[in-house]
Amino acid sequence: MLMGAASCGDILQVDPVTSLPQDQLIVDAATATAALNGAYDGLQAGGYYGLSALLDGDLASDNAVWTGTFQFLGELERNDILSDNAETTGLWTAIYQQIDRDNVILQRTPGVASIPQATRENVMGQAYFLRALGYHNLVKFWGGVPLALKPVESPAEAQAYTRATVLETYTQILKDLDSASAFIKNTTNTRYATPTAARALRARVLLYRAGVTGNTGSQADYQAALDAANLVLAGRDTLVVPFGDLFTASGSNTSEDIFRLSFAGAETHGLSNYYQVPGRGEVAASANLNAAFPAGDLRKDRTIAALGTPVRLNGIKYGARPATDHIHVIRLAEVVLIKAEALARLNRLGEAVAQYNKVRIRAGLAPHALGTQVTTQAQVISQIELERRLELALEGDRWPDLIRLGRAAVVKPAAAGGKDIFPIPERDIRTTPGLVQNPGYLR
Amino acid sequence: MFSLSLPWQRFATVLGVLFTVMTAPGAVEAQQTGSVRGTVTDSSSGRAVQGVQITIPGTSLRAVSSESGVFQINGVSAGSATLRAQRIGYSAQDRSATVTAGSTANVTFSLSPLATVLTTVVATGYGTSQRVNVSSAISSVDSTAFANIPVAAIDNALQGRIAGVQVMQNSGEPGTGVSVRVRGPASLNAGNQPLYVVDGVPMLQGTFEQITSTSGQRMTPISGINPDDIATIDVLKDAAAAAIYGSRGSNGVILITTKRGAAGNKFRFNINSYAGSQQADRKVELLNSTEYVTLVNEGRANQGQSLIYGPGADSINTDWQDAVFRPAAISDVQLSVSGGTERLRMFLSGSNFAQTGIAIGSDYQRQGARLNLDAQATDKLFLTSSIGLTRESNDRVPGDLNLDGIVTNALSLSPAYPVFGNSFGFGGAAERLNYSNPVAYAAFSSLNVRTLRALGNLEARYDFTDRFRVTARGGADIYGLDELRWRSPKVDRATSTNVGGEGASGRTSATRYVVEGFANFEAIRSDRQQLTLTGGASTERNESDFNYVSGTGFPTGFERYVRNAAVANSFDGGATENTLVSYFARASWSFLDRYLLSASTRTDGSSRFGSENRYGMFNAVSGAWTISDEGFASGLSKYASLKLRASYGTTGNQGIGDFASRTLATAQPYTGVTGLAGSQLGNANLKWEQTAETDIGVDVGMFDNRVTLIADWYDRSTSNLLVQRPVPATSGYTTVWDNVGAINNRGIDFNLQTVNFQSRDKNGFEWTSDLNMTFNKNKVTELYDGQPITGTVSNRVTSIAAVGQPLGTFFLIEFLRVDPQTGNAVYRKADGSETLTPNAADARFVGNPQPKYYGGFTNTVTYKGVDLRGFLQFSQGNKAYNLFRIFADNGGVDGDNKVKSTLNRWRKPGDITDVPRMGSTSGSGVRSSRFLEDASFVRLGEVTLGYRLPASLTRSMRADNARLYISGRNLYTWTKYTGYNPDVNSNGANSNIVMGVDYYAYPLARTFTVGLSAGW
Repeated sequence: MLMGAASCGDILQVDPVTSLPQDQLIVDAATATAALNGAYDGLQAGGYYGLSALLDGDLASDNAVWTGTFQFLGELERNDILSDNAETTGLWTAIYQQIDRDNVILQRTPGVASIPQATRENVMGQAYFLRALGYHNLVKFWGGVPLALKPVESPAEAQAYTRATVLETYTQILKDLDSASAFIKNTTNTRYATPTAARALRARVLLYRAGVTGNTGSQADYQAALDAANLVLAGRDTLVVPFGDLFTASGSNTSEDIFRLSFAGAETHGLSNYYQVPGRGEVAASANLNAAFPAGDLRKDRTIAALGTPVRLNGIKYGARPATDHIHVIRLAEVVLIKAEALARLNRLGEAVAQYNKVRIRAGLAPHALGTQVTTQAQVISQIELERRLELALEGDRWPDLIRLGRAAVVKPAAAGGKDIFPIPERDIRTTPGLVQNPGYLR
Repeated sequence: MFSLSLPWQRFATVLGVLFTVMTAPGAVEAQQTGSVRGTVTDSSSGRAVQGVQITIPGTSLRAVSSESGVFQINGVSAGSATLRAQRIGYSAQDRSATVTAGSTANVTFSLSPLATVLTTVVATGYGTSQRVNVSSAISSVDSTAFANIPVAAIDNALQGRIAGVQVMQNSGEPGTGVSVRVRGPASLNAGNQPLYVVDGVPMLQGTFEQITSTSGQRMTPISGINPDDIATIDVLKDAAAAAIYGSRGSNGVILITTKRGAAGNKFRFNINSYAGSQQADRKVELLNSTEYVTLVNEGRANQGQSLIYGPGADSINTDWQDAVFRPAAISDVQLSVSGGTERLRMFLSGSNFAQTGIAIGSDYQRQGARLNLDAQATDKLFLTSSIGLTRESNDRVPGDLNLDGIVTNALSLSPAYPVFGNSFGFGGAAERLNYSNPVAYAAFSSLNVRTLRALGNLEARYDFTDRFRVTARGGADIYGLDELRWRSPKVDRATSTNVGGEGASGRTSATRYVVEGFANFEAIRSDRQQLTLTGGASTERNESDFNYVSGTGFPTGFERYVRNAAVANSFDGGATENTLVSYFARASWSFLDRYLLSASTRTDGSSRFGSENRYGMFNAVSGAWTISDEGFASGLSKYASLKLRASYGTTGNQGIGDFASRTLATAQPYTGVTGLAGSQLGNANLKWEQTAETDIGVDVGMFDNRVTLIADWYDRSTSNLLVQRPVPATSGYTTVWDNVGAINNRGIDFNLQTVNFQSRDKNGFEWTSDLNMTFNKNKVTELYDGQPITGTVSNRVTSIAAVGQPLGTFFLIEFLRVDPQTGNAVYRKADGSETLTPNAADARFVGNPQPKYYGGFTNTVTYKGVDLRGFLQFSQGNKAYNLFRIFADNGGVDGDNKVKSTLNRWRKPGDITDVPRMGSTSGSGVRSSRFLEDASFVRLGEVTLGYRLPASLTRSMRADNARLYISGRNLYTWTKYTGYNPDVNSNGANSNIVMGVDYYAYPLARTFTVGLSAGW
């Protein structure tokens, strides 16, 4: 009988035809490139840039309100998030799922000799970029997180993870970005990462790290953010594309795009459905945001559409139905504003005002003059906060900005006591003994 | 040898004394007497029968046959004497003897076994056995229980018929699956439906439809076998019986044996035909137009809002249920030819079953043919084939779970809207219908599902000796399923309205091949003991593939087929496969016909499991002791037979996806560019779910077997549950298949058959009853990390698997009362306080969807040519969640029609009621236990009156026999449940955690049929 069992081993070895054993994922240049596309597909997930990464960054802030039936979105709006909240759990999950795809590329690609050097570097460089983007999104919303840097063989490995500190997380992000800048060969296609995108993300990351409590190198980070922004802006330090052209239903590709995530055909994001009626209408732009736009701001009508009685403020920045407009993950105006804030932090106030004026002028607003509308460093920084709020409204930047600036609990008092950052998902807390919950959520 | 333990000896002594007293002879005539001596044998086996009472009627003389069948009676008066031999399980026999004084006369009895419950042959899997020789828990149903029952699939006809087997109808939609639970549900993910084996070939099960958004119900592959072709059904209930099916036996095994021809150089022709009419057995009581308008306005007024409806708003009063339900025809015609010679026998049948749905647009048809051949090729070689072909066509309607379904909209549309109007003749958006018009749907849209099925096997048996037989068998089950859906743009407010219609077609084929060989060997065959050995091997390959495409944007006049679509908006295609390799063996030992011992083992290798755990072994042992055959109980054996059974065994469940144990990657494109990414984290240690079951049972026959009781106590513990347990998302995945958790089922089931009255005349009055009942207690005993797992209906949590609770316990906010002062609903918060606005964290365990007990009660009365049968089915203690009330009992909020009971709403302070104030803020719409209803029911499942035509008449028809009957099915249901059917599950037959939730389920039909069966 045992002999029979042995001889029947072949019958029992059945391989799937519509999926692949994962150890055969990357075997040549074509599959390495396919794996990279798979990693970008991870960005499109509804839990990530396909919805949550943008939605949550505004819903937790004063930019958006909950108007639907999903209670977990109500928790976000009220900054009273339970650790099993489906929305924040989904965001955390989608980011780590995307990071795993980067890790698979980074682990497997070096071992496949047949991949040409340039292809290998290009693929790995972009994977480093995507991993850095992932960890920055995690650290923005949760603080220091477990650093998964290689794919797991079994769940036990992940169950043994512990959290890195915020600064350790940033160190890893910057390390990945260095690799990304050095390796990426793609310089033209903004649907994929470029060295410029890596530098722009570096500027963003440094601006965030500079604001981290306990960061003794804060000023150096502002300087480094400025340097990185300058590298990006070299030769293109102007905003010439009309604001309305930046976000078109067909998925715009403008000279201001640094890294965009494309959608097409059956791949759609969820923003128009969530922000609008008709549609799920779970979320609307807040009256507070609506009122924050100065009279004559051209951006307002490209961000909010007021409809019906009582008035509903549909969010229309990403408003295409079907939702195949591209998500502009990093665009030039943000880098301009990063540069403005870095300059302001370095007390180069005149230059800072000149930078943010570029955004105002494009929006049809009068430029500011130092000493007139703004005088002190605090005033300049505060004005840049407003410009970021208006320029990047409904792009998911408001709440991380408020956390970074230490103003989350000022704007949303319910977030006091450590409820500005999100709770680590209950599932991960329960399955990972060494994972410590954020203090605001300890019972 | 067998030595009796002390208490038994004492019991035996007492019995002995008792019988000695009872049978003490009176005055014996000392002279003129002789003796009678003889033996008793079994007419079928020729073996000695012990324990037979030999009496001489009119005297007190008696004796009991010994182990070797020998008896002797002394003191018999000289002359002619009549001796009567009686034993339970045999026909009584009289013999006369001439006794000469002082000598011994010789008499031999050859008793024929009675065809009773206890002597029938039961299928045991890879063999058969007489029930008296069975030591495990097996229930049998013969064809009389389900012949001519107007349902498409046999599982439906088993409802209430078998102790320990719970059959839930789920929905009345023709051709869709029912839930069958043998001794309670025990799996969270791997499926709870039993294994069906037809003539030795395990049937394809599961669901193969691709268009699943239409309804929570699925077509059942079980309907591919025509109930009229079935001879017997045996249900292997305990692990000892089912272990021979190894890794698939843990939900019980249903063995179906089809009819075969009999020898006799004669062919029999049979016709079985019925036709009848069906109707929805009840309506849900909803508001009429005036009531609806009144309540909505009252709610608006209570909220301080402007009134929606002015005078005359109720001028139209539509009963949407009347618009959607209709009397519907049902018919079945079956012709069969059977018979043959000793060398070649056949059974050939053809049938046509047609069931129009009671909801418009719904229609089911099945055509079937079967050819079963048996050929005695040589003295030793016996060949058989069993082939069934079936074609089904099912026009399905959107229903259960679907928020835009026929039944859904019949319940939800406001009565103030008209059926007919300006949208292609039907009421639509212009008539302010807020949902699509179900009558328009039935007129313009459709979903047709067609299946083709071939299920059969070829078998060769070779008898090397009369004790050693080898069987080789090859079987196949080939199933093709085509779906074609058309969502017409002519239906207003449907999903397809604004996209120019949507046509979709899906094609699925599934194939199972089985090759097996086994040997049966009677190792010992003597009067004292028999040892039968069975051993064999089996391999099985399952393949399926599918493709699907749907398109939108059809030009006017074009429909259905995607050829004319402007855009292909969705497509899919793929294939999957799994294999199973098995070795099995069984030994059954019988000593003195009263000590039975059986052991079986099966080793299964499955391609589904992790590389480390591909093979699993399942063992079982059972024993039985026929106490009534013991010498000390010899007095008892005239009146009763008593057999004690005990068994223990393990079975498995492998009902998971084909590649659940593997770490896999799939295509994940990025805006049209090929992409690849990980899709699943594997588990090389993944193995089958295991059920260990202990069963203790008794088989009792009393009063010439006029009373038969088969009762079992069981304890089934299922462990290593196959679940997708959570893993940290930091791994890149959220779940992995693993073996964690346990569920216990414990209970008692019994079947009591009685012949209540039996006339001495052959065709006299006879009344028999058959009662079966099951008391099952289900409990989840272990889960991963102790974490409960919730089950959802339409994305709403309704049910839960939680440690210490029965599987599927309703998990809802608890409704306490309506506050008499405010009319607000009062709910219980998690901390015990009360609130109007509970949240998800306040949900509690509020009820059990599983019954405390269930069963069936059949009574049959025959007198001369007339037979009358009544069948009651019952289920007590189960709750059902009437989920549609979240819209139909939500404080009169405009939109959906409301249930009639909302008229009892709170109106002024001091009102005592359980219906909150009308208005959106009274807390009415909260998904709470307010909508949880008692779903206990007693159902008059069947009444049939038959008349066997007198022989004179039959002869004039040149028929051997003919019977006319009228039958009513599902005649009345006594229940407090307010929905259509308390026996409901909108999530369908394959739902594991969710049970008893009603979300726009298709109602059951009450059916009346007139039928004829005749044989030539």
